[in-house]
Amino acid sequence: MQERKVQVLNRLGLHARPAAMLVSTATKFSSEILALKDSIEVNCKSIMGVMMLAAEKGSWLTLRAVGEDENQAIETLSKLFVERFGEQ
Amino acid sequence: MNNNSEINSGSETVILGIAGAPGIVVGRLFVLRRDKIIIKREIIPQAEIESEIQKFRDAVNESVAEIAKIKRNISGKIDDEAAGILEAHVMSVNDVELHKEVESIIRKDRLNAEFAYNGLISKVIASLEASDSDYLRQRVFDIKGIRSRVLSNLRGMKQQSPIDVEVPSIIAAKSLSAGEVAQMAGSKVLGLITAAGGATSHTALLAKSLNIPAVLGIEEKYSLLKDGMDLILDGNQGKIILSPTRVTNELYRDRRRKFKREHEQLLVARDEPALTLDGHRVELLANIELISEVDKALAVGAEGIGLYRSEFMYFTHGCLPSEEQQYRVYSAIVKKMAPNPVTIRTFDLGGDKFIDETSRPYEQNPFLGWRAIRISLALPEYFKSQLRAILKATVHGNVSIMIPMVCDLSEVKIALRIFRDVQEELSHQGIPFDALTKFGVMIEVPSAALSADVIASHVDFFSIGTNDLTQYTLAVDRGNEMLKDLFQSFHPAVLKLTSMTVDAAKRACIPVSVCGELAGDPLAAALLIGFGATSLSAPYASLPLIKNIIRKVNYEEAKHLSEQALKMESTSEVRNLLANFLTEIFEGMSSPI
Repeated sequence: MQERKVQVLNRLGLHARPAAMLVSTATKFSSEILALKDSIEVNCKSIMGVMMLAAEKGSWLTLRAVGEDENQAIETLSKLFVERFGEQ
Repeated sequence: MNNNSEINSGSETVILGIAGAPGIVVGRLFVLRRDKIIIKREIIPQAEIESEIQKFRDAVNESVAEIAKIKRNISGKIDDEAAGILEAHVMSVNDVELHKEVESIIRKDRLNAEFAYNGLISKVIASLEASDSDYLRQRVFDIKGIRSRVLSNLRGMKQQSPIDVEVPSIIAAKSLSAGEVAQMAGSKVLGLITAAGGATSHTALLAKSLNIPAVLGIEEKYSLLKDGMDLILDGNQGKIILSPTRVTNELYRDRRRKFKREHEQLLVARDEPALTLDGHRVELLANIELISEVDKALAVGAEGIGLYRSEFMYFTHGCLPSEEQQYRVYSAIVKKMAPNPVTIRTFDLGGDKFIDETSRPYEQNPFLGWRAIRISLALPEYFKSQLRAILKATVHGNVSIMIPMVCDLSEVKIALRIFRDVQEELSHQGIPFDALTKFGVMIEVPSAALSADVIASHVDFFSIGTNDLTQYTLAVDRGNEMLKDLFQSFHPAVLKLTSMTVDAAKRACIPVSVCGELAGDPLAAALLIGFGATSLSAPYASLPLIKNIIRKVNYEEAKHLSEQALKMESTSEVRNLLANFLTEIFEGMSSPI
């Protein structure tokens, strides 16, 4: 199992576009990938789930991956957060 | 039933609503079906589980196809951000994890698909609604839209949207989202009617910019509208005539022709100056938000830009543009307009204009709060970088700088000191700029209007912002639909402050323009000139009509009119006075519709 804390840096939080990007990237991995915020735990491969986190700017999430490509999944997904999903 | 009713028939019905967007259209009604969905909890018999799951999958596929159709229809007309949102909509409908959950509920709990799907989506909505972020809370609207699309497809019901109109029609809906109105660009929609909405709603603003005549806010009369009815929609008067008689039809055919002809005639004077019959010259300028509007303004004969709302650059960039980015936009506008003048208003953020909902401070009264010049003075570095960018652009043409929402002289003095500091800085660095760049202020707060005489000697010009001046003078939130009848720009108190401001400018020998909505209102043109406004700055589309009015007016008569207006005791008296004046001007020409 791989786990990492990431922060939402996007101005508008994890809104539609970055949420869509997170989901489409997560779907490429075979591992089961979860995102945890406060007491909510959602599947990163579900956009409705990710939206449900209502993660605003500055909030912290924990990404957790379990599976064969768990290392690579965590690396790739955390990078999206650091790079603000390609937004300014 | 008497004999007459069948021939010329008194069977036509007139419905009065709010004039949302001008123009007259005749056509057939297409009522958008928006059925209310009531979710029932049902237990599915074991034998029907697989077919219930299949029903759900079909509904999902159908919904995806519908969104794809919208995407195709509006591609090229929207920006990346909007396209990204639509893409997220497709993903939301197609959410495999969500489907698995729905299917497992159907299978294990033997519940119906609607109930299962609705329950899961409602959870998402509940967590978004509880969010601290305004932006995320607003996403609820999107998710509800997705939910109702999937649920209606499950039920085999159609939630029609404007793109479903296949033959040219006038459409009616209880309400339309801004996105739905935006889809009407290039569609078969001739005109539109909604039960909800007012003259300043998104629906009205978008319909105007798309040139689609609209009557809004007909409320309970909406139930009189039936699919396939023939009707006349008069967006000038906010009137709908159902099943019009032949006489009415002919009358409107003439009016329509006249409206079109007058519209074309208006442009005849495009290259003529805005000169009154007795030779008084007025400058006619355009208000713009986007650089693309410069060409449109020039096409209708604008003599310059009287108000460039620079904060819109902030919105289109999605963040604070750098000095260099600002400089590029300012100089592009200035070059396009040169040698004609461009007045750049510094960022007017706050109030109802925020890009970053997450950093929006909580304020009980945002319009009385942290906005416009108050933000600029509180964040001098950000103010300075804007002033530097504007000053650098002055070498490309004729530029003035305007500060929004000043309340008194002390604010003006601080802003002026910063302006001088920036000029000095640029000189030191050897960066060229026009040292004679004019520095003016907007008068849009009653305290500024009341101290216009002391402010006037410190600045190069005034520009009266009638929207905010009305809002602050009458203590009426201009965004509040419940108060729309109280938002009266022709209120005698607003006129008095306007007249005081103009007088103060005249005494100080500085020019004074009017740049609010009022400047584009045909009723106000003669009045404002009569007060002594030296220029009017309005949305470009209204300039031809305003110019035509000016060219039919005597300055001496306009002065007299404005003196009379100041003696009126109520808004309706003022409006009557001005309407009569306008009718007299147009008499002998063609009577205004």
